[in-house]
Parts: sequence; C-alpha cells; structure tokens
Amino acid sequence: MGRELIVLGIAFLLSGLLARLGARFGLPTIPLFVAAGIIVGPNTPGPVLLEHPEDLELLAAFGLIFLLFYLGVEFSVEDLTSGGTKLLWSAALYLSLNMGGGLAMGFAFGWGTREAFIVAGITGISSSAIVTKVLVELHRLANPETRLILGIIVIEDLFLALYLAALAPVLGEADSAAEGALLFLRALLFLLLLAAVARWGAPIVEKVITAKSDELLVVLFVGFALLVAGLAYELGVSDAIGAFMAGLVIAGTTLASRVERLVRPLRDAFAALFFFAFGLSIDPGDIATVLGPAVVAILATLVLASAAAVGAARINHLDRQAAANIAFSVAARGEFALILVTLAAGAGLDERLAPFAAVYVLVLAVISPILALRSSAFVRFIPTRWVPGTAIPEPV
Amino acid sequence: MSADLPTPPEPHRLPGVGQRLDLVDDDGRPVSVIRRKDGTLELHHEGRATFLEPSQARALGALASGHFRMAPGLFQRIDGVLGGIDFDWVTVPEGAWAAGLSIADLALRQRTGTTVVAILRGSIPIVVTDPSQRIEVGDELVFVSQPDGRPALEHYLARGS
Repeated sequence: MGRELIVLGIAFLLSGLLARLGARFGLPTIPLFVAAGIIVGPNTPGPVLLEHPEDLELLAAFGLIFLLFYLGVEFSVEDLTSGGTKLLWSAALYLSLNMGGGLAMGFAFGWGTREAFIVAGITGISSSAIVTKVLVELHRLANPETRLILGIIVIEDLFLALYLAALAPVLGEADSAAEGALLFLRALLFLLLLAAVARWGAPIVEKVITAKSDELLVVLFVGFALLVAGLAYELGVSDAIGAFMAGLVIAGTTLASRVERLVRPLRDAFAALFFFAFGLSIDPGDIATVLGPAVVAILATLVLASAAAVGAARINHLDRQAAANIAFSVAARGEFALILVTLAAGAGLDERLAPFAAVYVLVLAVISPILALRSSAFVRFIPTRWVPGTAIPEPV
Repeated sequence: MSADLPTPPEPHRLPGVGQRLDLVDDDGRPVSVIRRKDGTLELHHEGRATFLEPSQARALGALASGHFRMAPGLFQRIDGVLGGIDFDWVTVPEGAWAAGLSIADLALRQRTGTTVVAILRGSIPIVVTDPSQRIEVGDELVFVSQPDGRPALEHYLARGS
C-alpha cells in the first residue's frame, strides 16, 4: 500500500513538473505526461518507477473515462447547428480526408485490417485539448477562423463516439463476420438507448444524481459516469463511449454547468495519469520498427490537414492566413489517438500500434503548436486561386 | 456599416472556451469580447488584444451595465458583492405550474435557492416587498441566486418539483 502510494505520488509529481517545464517553452501538457512515463518506465535505462504498468490500469481508466465524460457534459447541439451547413461540409471534408488517408496508410503498413481501422482513427481525429489551448495562447479566439476550428473539433468529438461504436467488432475480437455484425449491432443499440435516455430520460437521471451541495453532486455523478462506463465495457462497447454518453445525458439536465465545473479537476488529475501510464508501456527500443510508418503518417497528416484547411477556408470565404491557421491548429494529435491505441492494446491488436501512436502523437503534439505560431510564413505557399477570400481589412 | 447599428448583439458559444460577443466601435470597426470559462476577459480591437483578470472583468461589467450605484469602495468589494452571486431573470412560460401562485405559496427561496427581487409585468417593474405577490404567465422574474441558479428556478416554475 505504502509503496503504491509512493509510486502514484512520484508519477503525478514527475508528470506535473515535466509539463510545467515544458509550458515555459509553450509545449502542451499531453506529450510531456507521456514522456514522463517513458523516462521512468521499465524499458528505459535509469530508475524504474513501476515494473508492471498494468498496475496503474484502473486509475488510468479513470482518466480515459473522465476525459470523455467531460466531453459529453460540455456538448451542446447548438455548437453543431450554429455553424450551419458550411461547418458540416468543412468538418466532413476534414474527416474524410484524414480518416481516408489514415485507412489507406493503415492497409499499406500491412499490420492487418483491424489495425488499419485503428490507424485511421489515430490519424483522423484532432486533439481538442491541444487545439483549444493553442487558440487561447496564440490570442486567436477573436480570429475569423476560430469558430470554424472549434466547430470542426466538436464534430470530430462526436464522430469519435460514433467511430468507437463502429469499432466494436474490431475491438471485440470478433471471429467471424456474423459475430462482428452482432457486436456492432449491440454497440449501436447501446448508443441509441443512451441517446434516448439523453433525449427523454434526463429529468429522471437528474432526480437520481441531483444534490444541493457540490460534495454530494460529485459523489453521485462520479458513480453515474463509472456505472455507465462499466456497463458499456461489459457489453463490449468500450468504457470510453459509455463515459461519453453518460456525459451527454448529464448535458441534458439542469446540472450540466455545475457538473462541468466539478469534473474538471478530476479529469485533469486522472487524465495526466492515463497519459503517464501510456508512456510507461512504451519501449523506446520498439520505436525503430515503426519509425518509417510514423514519419509517413506525420507528413501525411500535415499535408491532409492543410488540404482540408484550404477547402474549409474556401467553403467559408476565409483568407489564406485563416487557411494556414486552420491547417496547423487542427493537425495537433493527442488524447483521442492515445485512447484509441489503449483500447486497441486492450483488445490484443498488433503491438506496433502503441509505439507508432507514441511517436506520431509526441511529434504532432509538439510541432503543430509551433507551426501554428509561425503559420504566416506558410501563407505564400497557398495559391490565391485556391483561397480567393480576403480578410476583412484590419488597419494595424 | 456604422450608419445603421446592428440589433443588440448576442453572445455566442465558443465550444470548450467560453463565450464571444461581437461588437462594433463608433467607427464601425469590430470589437470582439471573449469571456473564457475561467472568467478571464479578452478584448480584441484593431489587431490588439487586452486581457482582464476575472475580478477586473467583473468590475468592468458592473460599471458598463450602469446598474450599480458606484459607491466608494465598490471596486474593492466587487468580488465579495458579485463574485458568488448571479443576477438573472426568467420569463414565466405559458402553462407554467407556478402561474397564479404567490411568492410565499411557492416557497421559492427554500425550494430553489433563488430570491425574486422584482417582477417586470409589461413595462411595470414591481419590486417584490410583499411575498403574497402572485406571479402570472409572461411575468419576468428578476432574481438573485448562487451561480447557476437559473435552471432550478425554471424547472420549478414550469413543473413544480
């Protein structure tokens, strides 16, 4: 017991200190939490904090659950509808280019069909956390393209939930097509059931978990989130999607803004542990075997994200600077790639996925904010013919 | 652009970040105001950005609203005065359970933690000093509550539980 507490304490402290150091250089936290795990993991020289990273599994799962639960709680249909069809087209373009590219690469790597679908998810979905942080820190919240970027991110989040359901056969180790179809159907039914609860059952859920004091509300909503995540896991749908749907149900109650505020510290603490635990599981020795595919995927993402950004700028009549800003902001990868690869590892898919995702995320999480900062240097590479929009004249 | 001022601006959500309000200065140039979830206020104008801490932002809001008596020391105390309190109003909806009942009947303070301080009926403001005051459909109830008190009040007025 004492030993475990010491290990956890050091894990949190190391992650926090490393991320604080990185923040000085403008680095996002996620890659540094992962790096902390790699450094003290059993596969690198030097001190080993934890011989068996599996020991952190349950607490790390809390991180995954609260990350997705928060996303659900924060979700608002208004965020989808306020952008209109232009937003939907932009997001569809972004997702189809990046997921499609990912799927093609996944097959080209030759790791297997199920693995290809995981690669598509890893390369297809941006990191909400990093994108939001970049926009805030670069003082771009008032920019003309910012609503579009945030809108695309929201749609990506929602898409992730659907994609996780679609991945049920991949993650559920289906042996035959019929079994796969059954797993998918079960996942879909579970989603529909919870969507129905979110739509019509919110008052009932509210009665169950409501409390005047924040203390009791925390206890009750944590119970609700874990229960739904656990049920989802038992049904073979993945705890991640259960947690997201639980959050979506809460979003429909009058408790939403309180829960959103209260869950944030829980999410921050356990998510750090989730990223740290992922880092522990990475053997830098494996990286050589996946370096080629990872480099290809990183370059492909930068190219495809830029292509999608040019398209989105065109659709929304934005200028070339906006296109460059969109391109490098949404190229950030982080929590979702790592969630997917953790689920894939749990389902016993190809072991190369984890080091691949580690390299891919570490690089993109670090360079995308740097490129976003210097986006104006890339504007001249975008032909005016492609993005004819002009900025609203702003005397500086 | 500046000749015909737009209809009163509406804030819109910035998902995951906060809220944004797009204004126009008197030369017709855009002014964007962003309130982040942590309470920080961003003012963007002419390519420049200014940032106000939550307490500073609240003081600005109080002054700008013109609804506060600018007593000496208000800005020192503004966090204490406004920090944990929401001022808001709700309209009593059609078919509300609470219509026709009095503030005292409703036991609003005990049931919802909100205190109704005034009722706007048509253009007549009624400052509620008498708890036997009945509320009607279409009334705007001005209330004071802890942060996020609004949903509980809305729910209670409509459904009574």
